[in-house]
Amino acid sequence: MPQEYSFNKNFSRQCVHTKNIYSLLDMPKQEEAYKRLNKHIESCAVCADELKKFQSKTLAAQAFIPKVMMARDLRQSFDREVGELFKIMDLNERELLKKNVKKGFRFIDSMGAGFLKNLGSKAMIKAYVLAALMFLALKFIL
Amino acid sequence: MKTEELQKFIQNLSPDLYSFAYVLIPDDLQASQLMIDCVQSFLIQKKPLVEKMSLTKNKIVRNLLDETKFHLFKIIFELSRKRYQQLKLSFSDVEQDGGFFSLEFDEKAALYLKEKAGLELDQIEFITGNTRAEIMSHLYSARIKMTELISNKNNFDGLESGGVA
Repeated sequence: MPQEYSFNKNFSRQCVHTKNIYSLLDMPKQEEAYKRLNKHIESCAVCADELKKFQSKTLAAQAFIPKVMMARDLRQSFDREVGELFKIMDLNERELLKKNVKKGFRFIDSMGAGFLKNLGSKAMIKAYVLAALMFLALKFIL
Repeated sequence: MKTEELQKFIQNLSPDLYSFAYVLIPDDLQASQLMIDCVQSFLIQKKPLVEKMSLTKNKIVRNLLDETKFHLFKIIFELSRKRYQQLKLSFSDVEQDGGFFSLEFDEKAALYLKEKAGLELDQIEFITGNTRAEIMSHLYSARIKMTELISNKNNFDGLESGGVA
């Protein structure tokens, strides 16, 4: 009998939405699901109570998430290594500008080569022939 | 923006990078090596981004710097995931002690990024490469495990201080 009683008591304290309320802590506030759940909590004492408990436990648990400090010698070594990496990678401004200017010239060169190539293409030859025919036709008419 | 400024920015990020690296690989030397490898990998993988930043005359390149930060976190996550499998046995002492380090790899990453780094879900999605549903699930299980941990700890403290739980 006591078991049955406790079951009934728990049953009366349950809500089908309770299992979803834990996601409220991580869900962005602008999401529709958040707004819906939040609205539900305003009218459901069971969910509101459960959320409050979960929130306070989560808050207490935050103290157990470490934010580890870096030892001074490790930090100095990291700074030194990063400096070396930047040197090796040729990332100084003058080098980058030179590279960019070269890239620009290469682009212009390729455009010029493309233009010359197009002058001798089939489409252009057709255009020359058409222009010549038109010229002759106009000369003949006039 | 000058290259030196980017270098300084990365050097100033070291406390955040180290803390994240240590959470994933709980060994100080391994964590600091992970950071160096991460910067090297970033400079190789994202050279166009670095060059773009270096040649930008405008000093306001906040979004590019943020992008750099998230890329660095992402690389740390990817590298540490590979190394964690190889070094797993050497962390057994730390993990058996219970607490945060006994959580699963993805759970630790998601919980740390959400609670300590204060990142949004889409930023965590980018760093871990997991879907939103997966991240929510990792966060949920990590939170449940952490709250159980506190309950156990309180019980243990209670028993130690006179046996009243």
